[in-house]
Amino acid sequence: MKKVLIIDDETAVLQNVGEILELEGYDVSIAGDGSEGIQLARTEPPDLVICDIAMPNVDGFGVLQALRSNPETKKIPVIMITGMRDRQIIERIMASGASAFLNKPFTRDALLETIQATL
Amino acid sequence: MSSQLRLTLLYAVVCTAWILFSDSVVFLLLGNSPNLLQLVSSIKGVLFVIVTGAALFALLDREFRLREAREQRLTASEQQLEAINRTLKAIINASPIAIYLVDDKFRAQVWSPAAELLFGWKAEEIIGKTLDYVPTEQQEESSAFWKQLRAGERLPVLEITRLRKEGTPILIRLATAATYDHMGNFTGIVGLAQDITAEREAHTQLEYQANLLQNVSDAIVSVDLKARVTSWNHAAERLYGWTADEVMGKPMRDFVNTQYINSSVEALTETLYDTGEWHGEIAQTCKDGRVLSVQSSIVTLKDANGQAYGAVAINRDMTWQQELYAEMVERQRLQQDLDREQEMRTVRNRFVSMVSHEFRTPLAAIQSSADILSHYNHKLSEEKRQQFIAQIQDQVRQVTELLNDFLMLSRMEAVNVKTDLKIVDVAACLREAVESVQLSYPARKIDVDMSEGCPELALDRKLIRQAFMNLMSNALKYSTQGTTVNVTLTCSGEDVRIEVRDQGIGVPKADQERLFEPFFRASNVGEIEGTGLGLAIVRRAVEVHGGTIAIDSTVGVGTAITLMFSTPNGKAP
Repeated sequence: MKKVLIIDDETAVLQNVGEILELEGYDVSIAGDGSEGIQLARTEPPDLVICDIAMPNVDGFGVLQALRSNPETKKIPVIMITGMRDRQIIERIMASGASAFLNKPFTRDALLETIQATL
Repeated sequence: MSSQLRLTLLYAVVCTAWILFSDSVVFLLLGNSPNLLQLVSSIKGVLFVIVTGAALFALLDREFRLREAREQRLTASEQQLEAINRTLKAIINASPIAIYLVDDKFRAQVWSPAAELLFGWKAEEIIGKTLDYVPTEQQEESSAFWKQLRAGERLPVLEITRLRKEGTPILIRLATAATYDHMGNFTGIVGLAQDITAEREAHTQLEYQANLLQNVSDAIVSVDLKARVTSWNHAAERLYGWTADEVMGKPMRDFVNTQYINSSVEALTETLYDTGEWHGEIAQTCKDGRVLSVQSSIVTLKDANGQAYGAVAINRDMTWQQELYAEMVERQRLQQDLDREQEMRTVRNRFVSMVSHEFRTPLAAIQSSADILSHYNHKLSEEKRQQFIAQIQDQVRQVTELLNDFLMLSRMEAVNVKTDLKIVDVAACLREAVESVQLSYPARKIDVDMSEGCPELALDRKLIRQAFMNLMSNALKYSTQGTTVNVTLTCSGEDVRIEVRDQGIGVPKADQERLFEPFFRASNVGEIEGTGLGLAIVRRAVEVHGGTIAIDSTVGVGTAITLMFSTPNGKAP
């Protein structure tokens, strides 16, 4: 069973994505902010991280950088979730070393396809 | 034959004649009278002696007188000559012009002290010696001059170079004349020389300065005490369009009309009289009627005795500079407008980006809830299903709220301060807001304290009521059940002050500065829902009305937000 870590400060989205993935048979753990997500990824390295970009304190880019700088979490694929559609943000996501990204709002199908393509 | 010899011969002839012919003469005169003849013969010797003696005396006397007179005349001439000589010497010695005389072999004969100074030779070392002061390259020309003078021709005053004793060249002005002896023979040349090096330099300098004055870019105009033009340079011709010929000697005001900026002709006269100079801005009309903006510096002209005889003005055309300045200001303004627009565009873009993010998040939740319900309906318990439906409803409410706030904020941008503001009773408006908020929070207590006689304010009623409502609902939302929210309206003079105080969670110091930014929420809000636009709306509403906003908050104690409006002259802000 693949382990997926979801990091998002928006509780509703976090819970729903977690619900869908659990229903799809993934082992889901969830973190409500960036720092907690980094901590969880280190203690229980997942197979995949799904992370929101806009979060207070440590944002999605901060999380990605922290994961990439740690040898244990360096290779974990990361899917970024963003509500922004600016070209700069998209370019920044691509340049930061994320595996894929999802624009809010996204469908369950898009979510599952992206995860399957990434894993 | 000398007169003495002539006299002696004459005397000898008379004597001989007397001896030979005296008896015959007597006989002829007296006839044959022996007695008378006897008498005459006896005295003829005496007579002869008397007559000749008298004649001799007369002759000698005349001769003596003549000689005496001649001797006297001679002495006077000698004295006169000596006096002339002395005067001449004095003139030569005193003359600042070098005077020297050379003989026909070019040997110095006279050498004045000024010549000593000019050429370096002392009189005692040069007199009698050949004067060697012609530069090699001018020998030929000098010989030609010599020949001309010798031939009796006159030479004009020359400006030539000669050498000093030590060999350095010196520029002199030289007047020459040939000298002759009493027989008219050429004896030499007299020279009168003057050093003109300094004069030539001064002349060159003067020419240079005159040229400079003529050709500087500033108009330089001088006038006499009656303001008549005494000089008018090229720049003045160019600036005013009048030529020097047209204006010289005539009053300047006949040609150029002058207006004094921040001054007057009386002030100028007084300043010139007191300090001798005046600087200021003037507007002058030129020949073609254009009005020039001119920077003017005027200085009094004084003679050696300190007596003013006129004034000189140095006038600089500032018109083009002012035009340039205006153009520059205009360009700066355009740039600022452009910058402001750019900044506004950036802010708007950021805002749109934030808005889209804020909308997408609840939409994402709605989407995922709907997806779960449609894809996994069979796997969900009834309780779970209801939970997702409730979530969809909740998120739709949130989106609606967000939309409302967003529309309110957009409306703020469009408020026209001139047309949308109406005279509003602040107390009544505040009361309305309290009642409206109380409906949403029926169990909470809002304590209102309003002072009487507040001035009326010109406000956009809807906006300001929304601002009051936002403050109160925030106060209720971030404080716990059982605590009171205090709303106070105080007025003192022209100032109106509205304070909303709660006993809620408070705002961390670090967050207070950004609290009024759109979509910013304090880090300690936790699960309490909000759009992050409420306080942004409040701030914008206050700004639109020219008011100010202040926050006083302590985490865990409570928050007080104060709005202040001022009504200058008792009127609306």
